[in-house]
Amino acid sequence: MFLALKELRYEKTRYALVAGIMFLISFLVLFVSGLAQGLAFNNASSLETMNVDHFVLDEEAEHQLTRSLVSDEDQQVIEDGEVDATPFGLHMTMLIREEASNVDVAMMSVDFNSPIAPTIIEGQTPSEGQTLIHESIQEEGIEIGDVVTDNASDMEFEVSGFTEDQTFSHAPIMHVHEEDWREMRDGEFIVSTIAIHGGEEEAAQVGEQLTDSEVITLDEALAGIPGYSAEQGSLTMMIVFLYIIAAFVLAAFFYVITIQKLNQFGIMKAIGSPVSVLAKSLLVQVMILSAVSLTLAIVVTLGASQIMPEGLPFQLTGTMVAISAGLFLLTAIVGSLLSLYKVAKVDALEAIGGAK
Amino acid sequence: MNAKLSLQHVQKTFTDGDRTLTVLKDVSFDIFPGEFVAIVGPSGSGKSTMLSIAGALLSPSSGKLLLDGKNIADASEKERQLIRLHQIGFIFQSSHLLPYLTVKDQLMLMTRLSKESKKDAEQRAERLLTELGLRHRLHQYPERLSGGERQRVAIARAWMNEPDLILADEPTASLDTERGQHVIEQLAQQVKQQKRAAIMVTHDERMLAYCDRVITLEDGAVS
Repeated sequence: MFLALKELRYEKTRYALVAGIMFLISFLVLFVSGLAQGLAFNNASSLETMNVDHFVLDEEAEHQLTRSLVSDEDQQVIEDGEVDATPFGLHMTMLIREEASNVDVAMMSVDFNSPIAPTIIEGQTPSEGQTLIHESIQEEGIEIGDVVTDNASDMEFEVSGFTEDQTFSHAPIMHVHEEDWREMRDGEFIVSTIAIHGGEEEAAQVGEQLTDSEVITLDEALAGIPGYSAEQGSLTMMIVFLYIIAAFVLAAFFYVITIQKLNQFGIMKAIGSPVSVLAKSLLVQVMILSAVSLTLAIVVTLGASQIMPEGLPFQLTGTMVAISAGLFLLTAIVGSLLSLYKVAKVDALEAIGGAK
Repeated sequence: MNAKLSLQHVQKTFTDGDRTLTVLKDVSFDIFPGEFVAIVGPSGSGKSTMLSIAGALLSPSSGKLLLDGKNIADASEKERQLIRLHQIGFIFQSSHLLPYLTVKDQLMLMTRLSKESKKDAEQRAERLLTELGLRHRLHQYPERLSGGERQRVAIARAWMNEPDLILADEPTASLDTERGQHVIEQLAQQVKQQKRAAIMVTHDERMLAYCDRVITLEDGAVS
């Protein structure tokens, strides 16, 4: 600590530059992570807030909820079985408005008394001919009491209230009454998906009984949403590359600094310093610089998230921050390995210019 | 009286490609406590190699190296590091101070490395620096010091862990005559006062006056 701190203090400018770069990179990592998480949530918040880990889908739906129709047979099996499950209908459609642009929505129907019913933040539970829509629809100028027309069925709905965290494929979800859902399909309640309440065991139990359907996990269901994987994939790639870049930048900086100081390390060895002291000093410096720039980056990121415009999907949970911070520190250590190796290999004799 | 340091038939060879270079052929001598010995000899005579071996930086190829009666010729890297830290003080051609430590911290570093109590060490550091006329420089960085002052700090650093043996490799090379003489005078004084042993490699004949004995190396052997 002694050496590490004294040197950081003496070489303020040099180390401030390193810390500055590390701050910028870690800020970018946190920001993109927040964006990725925000987009993921914004894409399919309805599935994420259901608190359900497994879904029953039509085998041929290729994990796409909107493409799935669970057969009557399988519905009956699940209904007769011991596992709690909630069926729901889901499809993409469009609201037609006169003198205003049309709005893409996902239409969903689920028992409003079931565990996966939406949370109403304004208004009330709809009765027949009414609908609950995700709060973001207000940005389109739609208010409680307004009447909207579904393009697919030509049916009209009066908005009875707004929900929160109910989006699918980046579109707000409109929840309609079961009777209306039936009416749309000539009296039949079309079940797209069945949410299974419980854990792995229940999911396996249900899976065994199905004939035309399969049980998939939440992650598979999310990945099945068109565009979801591509969106997350490109952001993940950016994040991965940022970590790699961070490791290289750190490695390069510390390597150059170490090379410059080889002579000093040699002297230290000559006057009897163990290698461990030198290595510890270097690691402490890397850790201090990382911790300082990381703390700064977290503060700035959280600050920035406060002043971001409403519409920007940004979500950074404590877990995510902790994971990013841990990974970043790890990256810093990996980046300093080359320098540590160099320090361990320094020849005291060469440094003092003696012998041979 | 037992010798502080004793080299007995020390030989050192280096391999350079497929050639074998014998730098030290057969070197034997003793240094006693309170003795300040100069080593002179032409370039390539093996002075620096000899000093590196005496300083536990290099191991001899054969022969014995007794420090305080104990043979350290075959000591491991870790043992040699501890010997360098506790029993040997080095003074190099240029002061080789750490740029980011103040004069006092340069000395305190030594006690930190040897894990000694801080309080005694602070007193000793201040006393050593006062003796060497650096009292007013305690809290300054090396860049603010003159060459002579830096070299005197290096001497104080070498003394800091109270080593039995001081090894100096052309300590006056970077100083002008007057400053060089002053530095060596102080080094000689310290050796006498504290009954330590010191070896100085030098090219500068004017410095020999301060030494008790002169050993001349020629072609890897004492002549």
